[in-house]
Amino acid sequence: MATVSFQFPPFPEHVRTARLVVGAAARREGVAEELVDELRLAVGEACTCAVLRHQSAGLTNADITVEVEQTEAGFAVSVRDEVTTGADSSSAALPTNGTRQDNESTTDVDIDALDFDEDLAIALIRGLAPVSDIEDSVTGRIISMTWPLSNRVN
Amino acid sequence: MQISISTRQSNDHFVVVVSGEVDVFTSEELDAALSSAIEEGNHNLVVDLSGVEFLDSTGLGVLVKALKRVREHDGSLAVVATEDRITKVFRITGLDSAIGLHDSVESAVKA
Repeated sequence: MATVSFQFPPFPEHVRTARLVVGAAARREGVAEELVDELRLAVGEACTCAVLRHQSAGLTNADITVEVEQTEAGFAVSVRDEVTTGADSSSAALPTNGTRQDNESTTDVDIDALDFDEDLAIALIRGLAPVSDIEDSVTGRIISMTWPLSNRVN
Repeated sequence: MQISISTRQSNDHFVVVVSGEVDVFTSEELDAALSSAIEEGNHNLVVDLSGVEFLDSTGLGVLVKALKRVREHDGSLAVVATEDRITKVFRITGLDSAIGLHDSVESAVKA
């Protein structure tokens, strides 16, 4: 599978389309059916983060880029925004893990400390994607996620 | 995709019934419905998500915001969710420790 990429304007109405497109690509490339719902949710969260970051920064004329490709590690998805805050992506309110452990949090949430939109989105990405990485750089943030392939279709 | 929201009273609880997909595009509608209910003095809320097909972090955020507001009035907020794809987002984020999840409105009202 060649790398497939698409861009969309940073507006909420496009997030559903983005997650459905990536979900269809994942299904076509052989991601197990029981993982596709989780994949769509995680991709939607990454896209939502990007949209909200663009809107907060007033960057509504710069597109968000989504790339999907089949790698040795599996079905890889990256969502890249153009917001250069360099902010720390971790949160004190929610537990996060770089690699998914058991799909559930065992730590109580401090509701009052929760910056709910981004904290919850990142918690879901961490909890749903078997491998995930969030990288802030001078060109923006890239959220990378990978799922295993179980029944590759040629 | 739109969401559909209806409301009703059940004993001393105000029930908000939601169906459709709750995401960054539609969650404002849920926020408006819950905010309106709270402003009208309904501080014991049950949010019925059993007809919701998709729920993301913005939907969770709306529920957290409503929970904070009803707690200011010594109220409560419970959620009805029966599908694993919905309850899972509460479990992953740990919000099931703060928001009671129930399998029916009747169970939520009695809790």
